[in-house]
Amino acid sequence: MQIVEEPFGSGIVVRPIGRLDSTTAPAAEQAIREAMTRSGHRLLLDMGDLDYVSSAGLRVVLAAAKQSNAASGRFLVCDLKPQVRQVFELSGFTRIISIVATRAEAEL
Amino acid sequence: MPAGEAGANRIELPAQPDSISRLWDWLAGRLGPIEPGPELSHAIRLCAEEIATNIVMHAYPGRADGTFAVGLEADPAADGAVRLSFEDWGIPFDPTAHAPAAAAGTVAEAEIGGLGIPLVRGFVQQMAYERHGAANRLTLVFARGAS
Repeated sequence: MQIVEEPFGSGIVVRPIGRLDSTTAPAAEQAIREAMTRSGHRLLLDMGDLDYVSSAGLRVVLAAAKQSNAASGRFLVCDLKPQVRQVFELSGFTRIISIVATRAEAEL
Repeated sequence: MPAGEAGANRIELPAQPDSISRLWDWLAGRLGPIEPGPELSHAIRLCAEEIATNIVMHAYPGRADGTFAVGLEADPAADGAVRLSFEDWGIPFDPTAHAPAAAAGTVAEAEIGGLGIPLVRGFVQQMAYERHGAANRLTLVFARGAS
């Protein structure tokens, strides 16, 4: 899996490309954890290039949200594809994670 | 039949993390003739990952020689419903008895873990478990045209 990172607002946007599953989650979790720290806990996770997220991927998202929360930071997710949104909805993540439709609507 | 035989209705794999991608490759080949469409393909792939990952992580504590088997078939007698079945010979585990966790109201309350089985429940029409001798047998049924 490739992960692209760039400055965004007062923080960082991280864009994983491909699939966030049990085979790619460990590397993604580490990359996002490090980006979160570097960003001062202000991070946007752009999921526009993710075709697939399983519970292993949900754990990565939840770990990022918890890391940001613990540091009173800001964590947003944007641009969920329909099949990824369905996984978020079934898991109750749409209720507890801050999600915006597009990167343009995200403010850090 | 030899493990991993191409085109077979069933594959047997070591209960090891790298079996997940081998399972996906096998499923991709098996799904072709079933023509499930993108939504059903996604549901099957996801549920296969969730159940197989649970088996790999938890079925054989302290053992490296465990295996599991997966079968996939469409049932013409049930409007082409797709049946994904798992068998392992590890510790007894009934996912259908796994009570759904209460939905967390906040990120702080949400637990990291236990997310897979509720997700599977959301995608399948039916989920059946039996302990057969030393085997755990789990069958997931996906309705055709539903996700």
